[in-house]
Amino acid sequence: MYTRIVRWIDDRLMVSPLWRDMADHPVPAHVNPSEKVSAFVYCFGGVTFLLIIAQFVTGMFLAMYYVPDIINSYNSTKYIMHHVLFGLQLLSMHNWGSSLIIIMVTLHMLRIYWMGVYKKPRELNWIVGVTLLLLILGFGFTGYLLPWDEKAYFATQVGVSFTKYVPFVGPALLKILSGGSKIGAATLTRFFAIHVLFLPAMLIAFLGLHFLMIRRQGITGPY
Amino acid sequence: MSDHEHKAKEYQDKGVVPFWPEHLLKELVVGLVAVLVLFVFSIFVHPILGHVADPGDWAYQPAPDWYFYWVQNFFDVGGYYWSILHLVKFDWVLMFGVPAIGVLALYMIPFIDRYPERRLLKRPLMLGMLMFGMLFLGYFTANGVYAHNTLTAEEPYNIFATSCATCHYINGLGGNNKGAVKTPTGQWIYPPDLSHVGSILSPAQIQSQLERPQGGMPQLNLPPAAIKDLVPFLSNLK
Ligand code: HEM
Repeated sequence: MYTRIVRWIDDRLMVSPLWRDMADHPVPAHVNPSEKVSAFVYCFGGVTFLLIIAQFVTGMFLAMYYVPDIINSYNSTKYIMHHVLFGLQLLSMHNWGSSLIIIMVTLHMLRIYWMGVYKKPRELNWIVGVTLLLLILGFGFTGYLLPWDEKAYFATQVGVSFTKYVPFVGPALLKILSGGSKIGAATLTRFFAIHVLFLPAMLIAFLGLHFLMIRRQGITGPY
Repeated sequence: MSDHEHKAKEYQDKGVVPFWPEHLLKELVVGLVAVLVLFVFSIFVHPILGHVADPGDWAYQPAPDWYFYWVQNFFDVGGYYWSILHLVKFDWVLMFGVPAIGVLALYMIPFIDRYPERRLLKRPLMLGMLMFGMLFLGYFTANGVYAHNTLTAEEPYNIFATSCATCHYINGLGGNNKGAVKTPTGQWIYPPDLSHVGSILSPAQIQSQLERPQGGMPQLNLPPAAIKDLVPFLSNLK
């Protein structure tokens, strides 16, 4: 039955070469932690990815209650924390998740660095990787404003003020990012859109590139 | 032999495993441990929601998330030396040039590293850069945490010294310990010693006294942020 369904779909879409390409490629033993415990360092990237998925899921549920305007963002956050079933745990997981991702991505990068993985032919993947890192930090920065408490407001004020030092376009950039001359209602909706729409779209695109390159180039062998 | 079995044999001979299911399932176990850690943390430790944002709180000392402490502290410390060196006109060099060079250097790592060897010990320049980077991040993170703690810890003392000490006394901090003060209008008021105010008044009473003073104390018009800092500080004086 299963084979027949697969064949039926395959006749129309030809997915099985795709599937074979994604799932059936050989993975060398030296990256397998059950063969050699020290191979767990090869898992850091994968764990980061899994945590990102967890972050997407918790974020989607938070978005069911969160309201991005200067009156309700604070109140809806409070509501999530005190009245939504498991809301506090949800928020906690999203909050801790960001820290764990930063830690895991740093560890992942350290492996790439100390093993000299970025050497030819993987230079481009390092560049994609650094972009991923900046995107992750962007998530952290924009997410920090969303609860709209004192810490959120004033930390964002400090962070956004750095853009005014960019030569020539600085003041314009400051205005674009904060949506006015001060951190306010427009900043909040902007940061919300960046946090839940712009950055995820870019993250997914760059993760796609990252994984495509890993598939093409294979995982680095031992020294 | 079917195609599948053929492949399995070939993989086995080469000492490799297919990505699905052998490899992915094992990697998933590691990943699920990470998610489990996340879950356990989320049960025991929760984020704190502060007071609602009030743009008028000039005294508020914001703290970034822990992984941005080093950024803030680097610019604080750097800015301090920059102004000592009279380079304020060239602020953009410090605030834009330095971080831009940093990010660019990070992007260019594969092109900076021209060693044919991959082992870190055989790449002294890269080892040096790694050490420098870690010390840099570590130093400014630690310094940032320290600076933030001293700043926020000093806040109530400063407010006490500037706004309260002309009338009140606190053991260890000083202030007026005569117990009586003649106001500019010629009245006598009797400001109490505040050394143990926390065991006499509740936090709510302290806050109300600061906002709507009773018993001859003048309206100090303290900003809300100052009151927010003072109330817990005074309540702890037991
Ligand atoms: C969103 C963050 C990221 C995710 C989810 C991610 C995911 C992955 C995964 C799953 C792998 C397979 C091997 C492994 O897990 O070690 C990998 C490899 C790689 N990553 Fe990342 N990565 C991220 C960020 C980065 C960053 C910040 C860099 C470096 C600046 C980087 C550079 C590389 C390189 C060069 C490889 C090839 C490894 C090899 O051939 O051995 N990645 N990444």
